[in-house]
This record gives sequence, C-alpha cells and structure tokens, in this order.
Amino acid sequence: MLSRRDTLLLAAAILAPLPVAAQAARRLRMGVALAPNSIDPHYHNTGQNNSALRHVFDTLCNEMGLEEVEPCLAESWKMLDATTWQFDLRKGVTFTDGTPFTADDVIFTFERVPTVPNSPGLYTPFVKPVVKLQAKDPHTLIMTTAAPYPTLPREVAWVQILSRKIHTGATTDDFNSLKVAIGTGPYKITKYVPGDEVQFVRNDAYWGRKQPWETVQLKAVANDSTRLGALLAGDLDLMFRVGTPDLPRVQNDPKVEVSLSPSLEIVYLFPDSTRDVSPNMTDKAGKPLEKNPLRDVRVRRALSMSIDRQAIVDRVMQKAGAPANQIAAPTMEGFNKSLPPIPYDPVAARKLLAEAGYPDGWKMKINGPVGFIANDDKILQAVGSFFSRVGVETEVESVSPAVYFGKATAREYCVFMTSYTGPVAIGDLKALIVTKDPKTGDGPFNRHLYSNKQLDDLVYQAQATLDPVERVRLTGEAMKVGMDDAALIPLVQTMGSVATRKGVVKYNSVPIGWGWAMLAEPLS
Amino acid sequence: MSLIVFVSVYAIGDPVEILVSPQATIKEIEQTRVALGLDQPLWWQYLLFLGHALQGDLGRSFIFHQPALSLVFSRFGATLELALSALLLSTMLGIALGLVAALRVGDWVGRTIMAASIAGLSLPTFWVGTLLVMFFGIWLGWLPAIGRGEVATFLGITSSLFTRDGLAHVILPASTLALGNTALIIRLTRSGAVEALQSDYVRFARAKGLSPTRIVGVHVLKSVLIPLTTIVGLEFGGLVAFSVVTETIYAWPGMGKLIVDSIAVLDRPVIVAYLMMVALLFVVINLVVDLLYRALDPRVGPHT
Repeated sequence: MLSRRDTLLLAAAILAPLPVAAQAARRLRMGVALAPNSIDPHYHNTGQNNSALRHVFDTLCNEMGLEEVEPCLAESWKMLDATTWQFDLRKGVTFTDGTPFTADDVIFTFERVPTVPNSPGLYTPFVKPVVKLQAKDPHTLIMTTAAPYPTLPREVAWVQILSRKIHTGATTDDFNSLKVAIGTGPYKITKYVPGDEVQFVRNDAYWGRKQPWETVQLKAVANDSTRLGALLAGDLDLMFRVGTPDLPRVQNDPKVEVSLSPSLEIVYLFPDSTRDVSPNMTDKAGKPLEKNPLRDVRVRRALSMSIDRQAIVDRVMQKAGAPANQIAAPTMEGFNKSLPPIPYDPVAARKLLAEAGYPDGWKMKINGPVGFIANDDKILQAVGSFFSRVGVETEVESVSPAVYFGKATAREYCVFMTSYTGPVAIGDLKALIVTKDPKTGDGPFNRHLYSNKQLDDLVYQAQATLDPVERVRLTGEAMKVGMDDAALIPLVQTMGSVATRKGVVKYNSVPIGWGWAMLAEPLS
Repeated sequence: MSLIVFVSVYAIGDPVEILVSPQATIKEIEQTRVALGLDQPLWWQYLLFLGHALQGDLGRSFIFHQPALSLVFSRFGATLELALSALLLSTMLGIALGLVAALRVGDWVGRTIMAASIAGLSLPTFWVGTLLVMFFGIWLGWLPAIGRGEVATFLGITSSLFTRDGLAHVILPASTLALGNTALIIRLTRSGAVEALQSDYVRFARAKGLSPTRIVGVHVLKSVLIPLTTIVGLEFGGLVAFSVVTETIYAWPGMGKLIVDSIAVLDRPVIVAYLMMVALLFVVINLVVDLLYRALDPRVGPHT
C-alpha cells in the first residue's frame, strides 16, 4: 500500500515538468509532406528518400539542380578518355562506426544497387552506364562506361555510398531496424517510424563542415494547412511546401519567413498526336470525332497559344510559379535559352484552328490529377476555360493520382496534364518524348507514344557528345524540335516554398528542392 | 472481404505508376512490377495471398517493405490510446451532463446543455479540429498542435499517456474525436434518465426516503447504462476505425493516417491487413459489450 505521502510524491513526480534540454543543444524540427519509406538508401528512388537519407549517407558528387554538380566523397574527377573516368576520393573519411572509406566501398555499392529485392523503384538507372569499376589505389577509382557518357558525375550523384565491411549481406530490414544505418554523412540516425518521422543526431566525426544542429527531427505532416499550423504554433522550426491558399496570409505574418524558389518541375499537357482516333473528343452535336484534330501541329500550337500562362501563375498559383516555354527549367543544363516565350494570342489561335479546318472547334474532355502537383485541379480548370474561349468546348476531369496515372498510360485520355522533375534537360526529353523503346529503356513516360526521328537523333547525338558546350547546343536543338512540333504543351514551372520561424532559422533553397538540415542555418 | 479489396484495388489503378521514380527507364518499371508480384494474373495473386494468409502472413507493404500486419499493429497503440482517451472523456462528460440535463429539464441549464449537444453532433470534426488548433495551439500556445508526445513504459504498456508531454499532446485530438460522441451520450443519458425518473421504482424509492444522490447515482444510472453500453461499444469501434480525419489533422501517427497514406498509393497488403484488423476489432468489441450486458442487467443470461 502506498501511504498518502508516497501517493503525493508519485503524483508530483508524474506532474513535474520533464527536464528541458539545455538551450545550448540546438535542435531543428523540419516538417515535410512525406517521410522516407525506408532507411535502405538503395531501396526506393523517391525525392523524400533521397532528401532524408542524405543526412546519413554521402554520394560521390552532390546534385543541386544547377548547371554543375558539386564534389562530395569524390574531391575531383576527370575523363581519361571518351569512356574512362577517374574519381579522386576524399581521404580520411570514416563511417560512423570507425570503418575507413575507400574506393572498394564504391565498388561494393555499385554491386549492391541492382540486387535490392522487392524494390518499388531501383537506383539502377544511375549505375547502369558503368560497365567496369576498378580501384587504382584506395582513393582513386576508375570507372569505364560502355559508350561515351559525358554526364556520368550527374548519374553517380544519386548513389549513396555504403561500406563493404559493414553492409555485406545487409537487408532492407536491417536498415529499417537501424542496425546497419551507418554512413559517412553529417548526421547519424536515431529513430525511424515508417511514414511518420525520422530523428538524427550530429555526427561529430564528419569530414565536412561541422553542423550547427545537434539533433534534427524530420516529421511528416501530409496536410499543408496542418503543417503550417504546427510551424505557427512553434512545434516546427521550418516546413516545406506552403499551401497556395495560405501563401498571401503567411507572407504577412511577422513571425514567419517564407521563401519561394524556382523548382525543376515543369507542368505540361500531353496531347495525343499519334492516334487517328482519340477518346473524349466529339463534334458540337456530341458525335465522336472520326479524325483526331490533335494530329495537326497547327491545332496543337493553337491550343498552346490560347493559354494565358501568366494569368495562371498570377491568379491560380499566387505567383508561386513562372510560365514555361519548354520541358526544362532555366537553371538546368541543356535549357534552350533562345526559345521565345509562347505568346498568349487567342485571335491567332482561332485563325490557326480555322486554317486546320476547325473554325467552329469541337468538344473534348481533358484530364489531370488532384493533389499531385500544387493546384493541379485549378490549373486544369483554367486551361479548360482558355480552350473553350477559342471555340474548343472543353470539360475538365481531375482524379486521384492512384487512378489517374494508370489510365493515362492506358491512353484513355486525349489530352492529359502532369509534371516532370529532372535535373537535366536531356533527361526530361528522354523520359517524355524520345521514342518509347523497351530496348533502350527510354521514353518510360512517353504515354502517347510520340516519335520523331529528328528529335531522337539529336538527343542521342547530344548524349554522346563530350564537349559540354556542344552538348548543351544539341540538347537545346532537340528541345526546339519537340516544342516547334508541340509534342508537349509546356504550361508552368512551379516554385518550391519553405517557411521558417523568423529570426530562428534561415533556409538556403536549391533548385532540386532538397529538404536538408545541412541547408538550414540557425540565426540566434 | 479480402477478395473485395483485391478486386477493387486492382480496378482503381496501378501502384507501379505511382511508385516509380521519374528517372526510371522502361526496364526498371517492369522490374518493379515483377518485384511486387503485380505481373501475375489477378486470380493467381489472390491465391498466393490466401496461401500465405493461412500461414499468418498477410504479405509485405509495397511501400515500406515491412510485413503489412506488423506495420498496422505498430500503429495500433497510438490509435488505441487516442480512442481510449476520447472514449473516457466522452462517457464521463456525457453521462454527467446528461444526468444534469435530465434533472434540470425545462430550465436554462438543461436547455443550454441540450443546445450544446446539438452543436456537438452537427459540427464536422475537421472544422472543430482546425479551430482547436488555431485557438489553443497557435493563439494561446498552450498545447502542441501536432504529433504524439514522448512515450513511457508502465506495467509493460508503452504509451504516451504516461508522460506529461504525451498527455499535453493527446488533449486536443482526443477532445476533437470525443465531441460527437459526448453529444450523443448526453442525449441518450438524458432521455433514459428522464424516463427512469418518472418510473414507479424511482417514485417508490423517493417515498421510502432514499437520498436523491443514491436514487440518481445508483437506480437511475443503472437503467440508463444498459442502452448506453451498446452505443458506447459500437462507437468505440468507430473511434478506432475511423479516427482517420482527426489523425490527419493532428498528424497523429496512428492507423488512420497509415490507411489514408496507403490508399493514396494503393499499398494493397496494408489496406487488406488494416481492414481485417478492424473487422476483428469489431467482433471483439461486440463480444465485450454482450458480456458487459450480463453484468449490468441480470435479466440477460442463459436462464431467460
């Protein structure tokens, strides 16, 4: 039996405030929309995994979405001949259990990547170009590619390096239980709750800049408004992706600092220019069209010109975006700087439609996802009304991404909207409008099977060109061919947004959109 | 039931389309399909699932690569503690206010309680939740706006209800979740109690000179509790199974949040495991309710 005094003491102990961590221990609490779904850095290639796990694991180079990649575990690299590369590795780097990092660990990592079982999305695209790896000495690595591969550093920048000694035989479960979650990165992982949160503590033996934060918490809060609420309530120090309806209000909040920065995401429409008959298109009386108007390049250009992109940016996106004139962001390697903006000209659009034999337009239904891109349903609505204004009576339908992408691939839509995010322009072209071919593996998201020999030739020529200036020129040329043909109709480039507690944290955004504690600086 | 989930997820869409990264080539997309077993015909996928399920294996999550059942189970604790807090809050508050309303029928106290209960029944959870966060989390800054607090282990049970931080975190979501139920219990208690107060046995008790506290606290309450138990039992199942909205607003790491995330990416093994678990839960709750009945009402039993 507890005496009355004991009971009181017990109650006091329970109710007493927990010892508050000393103020000196700086902690950073970051709110993200999605948490990583595994701690195995080779399990599932997604933005949230790459962002979160890079706190723990390093790569050879850092991809920031700029024109050049930055050194990381590789201090420098050079091409020895057209297919041979030398990477000079950083010396004195250790994994957090003390194991030294050597060239053999890179070889091990490249061997492991294709072997991770049950992966929903392997990292093989990044290791595939390399056919042979060789350690010249413990800190010099020779990579051989099958064909000239001038953008190799950009590819290897996605592969997080593990240790042969620690990680031989390690399974995805071993990483998820944190048993082998050991890397060379600036932080060590201390807690992982799938789909909810990850906690890190500073790696004091880190080879690079000493990190200002002692602990970092990455908390998934899927709902945009809830995430913002948590920041306003002081439960988070910084959060990524402010919901558009909240933007104007938060920008005036004295406690919060919001920064917008251009991302690499381009929102586009994919018109079906390849089939003779396409679904969801009828004449004004409701009879299905026997001939697909979208096959005519004049029609595709007319539709593109009927869209007031600036109005979409200003009103729908609350200025958190920019009009796009090609399938690449201006910061990306291969962006064609000489392409003019696509004019907003409904009169010329109507004229082009008349020339193509559609003076009265027709009726169609266009499709898009909901909640995949910020404001996707509203952007699609705006597009639909612009189309209607030039006589193409357009109905819009937005559905959940879970339903949407399967149907888009099954070609159940005549025009659909989605977005692509890639670090280099040639990657966007190869994923979206280069001929879909199982042999090359290219064109995985070329859902309307667009095919243009001239464009393909330019892309593959660019891919094999070693001179960077010439490569950028050829990529730009390929982009121009695709855009002149209106193979895709680019709409807008989105912006990433980060909100921080004013005077507490400053965040240095990069175009690729990393959510890294390494990019956050304490202000107090 | 598992068949329904299988067929409906299949009909909704293709998980591979959502899972693959932008940099994947056609080959990787095919590899993903094979790795998840989605290249097989549906009937064969289902038979494989049944075979494994009979051995207690509901498959691994497409997304997390963890056994689906243990993934759902790992989130069960958080949801249970939220539902229990809400249940406790709503029954205590509901019965107390309901009795007061029954005793003060017609005057302003009774009317205020009844008006409030109507509001409680009709206000949507997401709205109340957001409002509570704004008021207590942001303006006053008294309570944390999101997440679950620190956990502690006591008597072998790990829960955030054993720490001060954890209790602070649970107040807002539990109140949000409890709101509708409290209102329902107030109304049930009141109507039951009003009826009981006019019954013969209460009149006899009064005539015999029993204290009003004893009359209300024992005799009236006991007859009110019988219908209440059924409702509370069923509602408890509802609290656990459908705390989805509340968990989303408060980023509470429970099963509701998991199921929403899983449906969004068509993570079939998790959806199946979750639904089977919820079905089992309802069976257990109904059993407990029936047993409680016997304890409360001696007329219910094998001899009648």
